[in-house]
Amino acid sequence: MHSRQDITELFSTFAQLSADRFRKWLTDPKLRRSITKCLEYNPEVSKAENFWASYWHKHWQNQSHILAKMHLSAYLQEACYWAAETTVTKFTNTQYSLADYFQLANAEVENILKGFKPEISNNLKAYAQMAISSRLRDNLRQRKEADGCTNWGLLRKVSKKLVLASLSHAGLSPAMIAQYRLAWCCFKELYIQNHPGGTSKLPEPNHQLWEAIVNLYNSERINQLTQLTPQCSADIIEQWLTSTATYLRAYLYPPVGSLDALKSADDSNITLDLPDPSSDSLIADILAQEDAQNRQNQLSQMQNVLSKALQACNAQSQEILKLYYQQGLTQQDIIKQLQISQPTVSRRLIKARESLLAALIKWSQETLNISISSNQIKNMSYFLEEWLRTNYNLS
Amino acid sequence: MTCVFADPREWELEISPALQADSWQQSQVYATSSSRWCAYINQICLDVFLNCIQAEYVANATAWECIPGVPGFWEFLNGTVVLLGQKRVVLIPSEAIDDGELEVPQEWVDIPSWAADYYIAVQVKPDGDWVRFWGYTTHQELKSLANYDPVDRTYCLDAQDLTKDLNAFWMTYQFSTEEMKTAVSPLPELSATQAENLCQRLSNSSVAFPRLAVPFTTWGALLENQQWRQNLYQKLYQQRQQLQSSTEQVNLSNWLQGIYETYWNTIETFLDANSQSLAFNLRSSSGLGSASVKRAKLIDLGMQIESQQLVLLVALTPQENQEVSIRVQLHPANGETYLPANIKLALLTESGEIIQSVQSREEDNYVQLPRFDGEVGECFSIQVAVDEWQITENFVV
Repeated sequence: MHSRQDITELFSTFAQLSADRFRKWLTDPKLRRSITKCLEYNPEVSKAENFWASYWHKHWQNQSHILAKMHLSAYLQEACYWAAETTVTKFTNTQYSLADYFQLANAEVENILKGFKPEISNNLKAYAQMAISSRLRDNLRQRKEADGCTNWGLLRKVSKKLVLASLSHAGLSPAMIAQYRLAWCCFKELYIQNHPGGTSKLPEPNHQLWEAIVNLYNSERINQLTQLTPQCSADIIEQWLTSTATYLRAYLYPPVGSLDALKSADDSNITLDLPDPSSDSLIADILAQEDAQNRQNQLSQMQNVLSKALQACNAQSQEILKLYYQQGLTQQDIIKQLQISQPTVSRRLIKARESLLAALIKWSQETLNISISSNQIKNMSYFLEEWLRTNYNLS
Repeated sequence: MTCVFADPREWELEISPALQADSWQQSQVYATSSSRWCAYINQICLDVFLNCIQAEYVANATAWECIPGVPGFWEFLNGTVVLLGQKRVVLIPSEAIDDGELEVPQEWVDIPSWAADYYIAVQVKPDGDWVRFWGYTTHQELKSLANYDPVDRTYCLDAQDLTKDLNAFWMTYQFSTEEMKTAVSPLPELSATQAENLCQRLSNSSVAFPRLAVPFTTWGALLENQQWRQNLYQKLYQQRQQLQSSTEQVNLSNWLQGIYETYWNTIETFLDANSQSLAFNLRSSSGLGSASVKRAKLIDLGMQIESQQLVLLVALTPQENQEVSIRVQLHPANGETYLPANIKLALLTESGEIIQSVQSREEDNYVQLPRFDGEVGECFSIQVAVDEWQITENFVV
C-alpha cells in the first residue's frame, strides 16, 4: 500500500482492496470539497496532519459536524490496513482474508474514536493502529471460542448484553425479546454440569431438562414478564433457544460485506452548506492547546521520568518490555524466545509496566505537589502505553 | 493452555488443578446445582485473586464472610468481596467470552454496608485453566454511568465505560485518597416477625429466584442483617436438601455400571488419600480395600456445629446371586482429623424403621455401619443426625 501524504487526500480518500491486495485510493467528492474548503480558510495550518485529526475529532466529540466521522474514517485507512495486515500474518485463520479484516477494522473506527483521549495524546493514528489491532485480536479470540462451543455451550458463555443485542439485531419485537430472555435465563439456571472443568463438554439437554426449563419458565413468566403471555411448551422453549444461538452466531460473525462502516445512508440529506470554517472556534482552541508551553514542558518531563525509570528496571524486564512493545510479540512468542514460563512472563510484564507507572505518579506528586486523582492515574497509564509503543518503535 | 493474547494491563492468572479440585469440593455444600456452580466459579476467582494479592500486594487481604465460616454469598447471588485494608473490592466473575459488560447485582451497590469501593470484571474459564481480571470500575461510576436493569436487578456497565487497566487499579488503590463511594440511602428496618416470615416465604421451594421475589428494599434489608441472613441461608439450604433427598433415590445398580448421581463424587474429591484413617481403611480387609465402587457425598450440617462438613461414603462389592455387599462410613471433611462427637449414622428400612445405628464419640476418626447385603430392587435409607437436625438419603440396590 502506498501511504498518502497530502492533507486533502488523507481526509477524503478510501482504500480499495481487490484480490486481497491494496488497489487504489478512491476519492469521496463530498469529503474532498469539505476539506479543501477548510484548508483554503486556514492556510497557516494546512500542513499539519495531527492538527486536522484533532480538529475532526473535536467535531466528532461535539457532534458539531456531520462529516466528522467520515473524515476520520478516511484518515484512519492506513491504520486499519496495517492492523488488518498484522492480524492476518500473526494469526493464520483461513476463515478471514486481509480484505475481511480490513473491513472489520473499519467497523471499529467508532470505538476507536471513543477510546482516544486527545487531552493526553495528539497522535490519533498511532493510537488507532494499536487499538484496532487489539480489538481485532479480541474479536478473533471470541470467534475462536464460539466456534469451539455447541449451541448449548455458547448460550452459557455469553453476556446478557450480547444476547439482547443479537435478539434485537434479528428483528424481534421487545415483547418477544423479553420472552426469549426469560427462556435463556431459565435455561442457564438449570443447564449446569455436575463436574468440575469446562462447560464445553456439556451433553445435549434431554427431554427431562426441557420439561424442567419450561416449568420454571411458566412459573416465572408471571413474575418477570410485564405483559401477559401464554404458557409455553418444552418444544417452543427448545426452538427459542436454538434460534437464540443462531442469532448469536450471526451477530458475532456478521457476514463481511454487510458491515456498513463507511456507508453514509443519508447521503442525499447532507447539505453542502458546510459551516464556514473561518468562524470556527475549534481551530483557535486547538492552536492554543498546541502552543501551550507548559504542556509541552510537562510532556517532555514525563518522557524523561519514564526513560529513567525504564533504565532502572532489571535486564530481563527490559527485554520482555522490548519484545512485547517493540516487536509486538505475543506472550506465547516471548515464552519461546526467553525460555521462561508463561506466569513469569506475565508477572514480569505487569510488574515492569507497574513500576513505570508508579514512577510517573511519584514524580507528579513531588513536582506538582497534588493529591492525585483516579482519573489522573488512568490518564498517566494511557500516556505510558502510548510512550511505550512509540518509544520502542522509534529506536 | 496459556493465553497468547495477554495484555499487561490485564491479569491472567492460572488455575492450578489442586485449586480447581478444592473449589469444586467446597462448592458442593450449596443447595442447588445453579448455586453450586456459582460457588465453584466464585471460589476459583476468590482463591486465585487472594493468592496473587497476598503474595504481591496486600499480605492481609481476606474474603468478607457472609456468615462466620462461610465465605460465599453464592446461595443468594453472584459476586465475592475481598477486603484490602479499609477498601472493599467486589469480584464479579462471569464465563462470558464476549467482554460485553459488567453485570453487578444490585445488592453490592445499594445495600449500604455491602457497597464496595471497587468492582472488578473477571472472566473465568474453567476449561482453559485461567482467570482473567480484565477491567474495573468504582461505586461512583456504577451509580452514574451504569444502566440499571430492573428485570434481574443488576447495574450493567458497558465494557466501553469500564477501565480496562488493572495497573491503574493498583496505583489508584495505593496513591489515591479520593472517595470512590457515593452515599447510599439506608434500607427500611424490618421487624423480627417480618424477617422471620420473609425467611419462611423465600425458602419455600416454589420460589426459584429468592432475590427477585420481593421488592429490593425488603430483600436488601433482610440480607443486610447478619442474623437474618444466616437464618435464610439455613432455611434455604434445608428446604432444598430435603426436596432433593425426598425426590431423589440413589441407584446403586447404576453405580456398578459407572453411572452416578450428581452429588456422588469419587472419594478423592473430598478425602485426602494420604490421611491415616483412609489409608488404613483402603488397605485393611475390614475396610474398603476390596470394594469395587466407592463414592462419596459432602454433607453440610447446616451450621449446627460451626459449619462443620462431613463426608458420607458408600462402598459396594458385588456378590453372587445379584446381591451387593454395602459398607457405609462417615468421615470428617476438609482434612479434619476427628468427627464431631454425638453424630448418629443410621440404616433405615424403606418404611423408616432404624435397623442399625452408630454414634461418634470424642476423637473418632470416622464411624461406620456394619457391612450389610442388599438384593437388586431392595430399598433402604441412610440417616445422618445431630441434635434436632437430620438428613436422609434414599437408596435402591
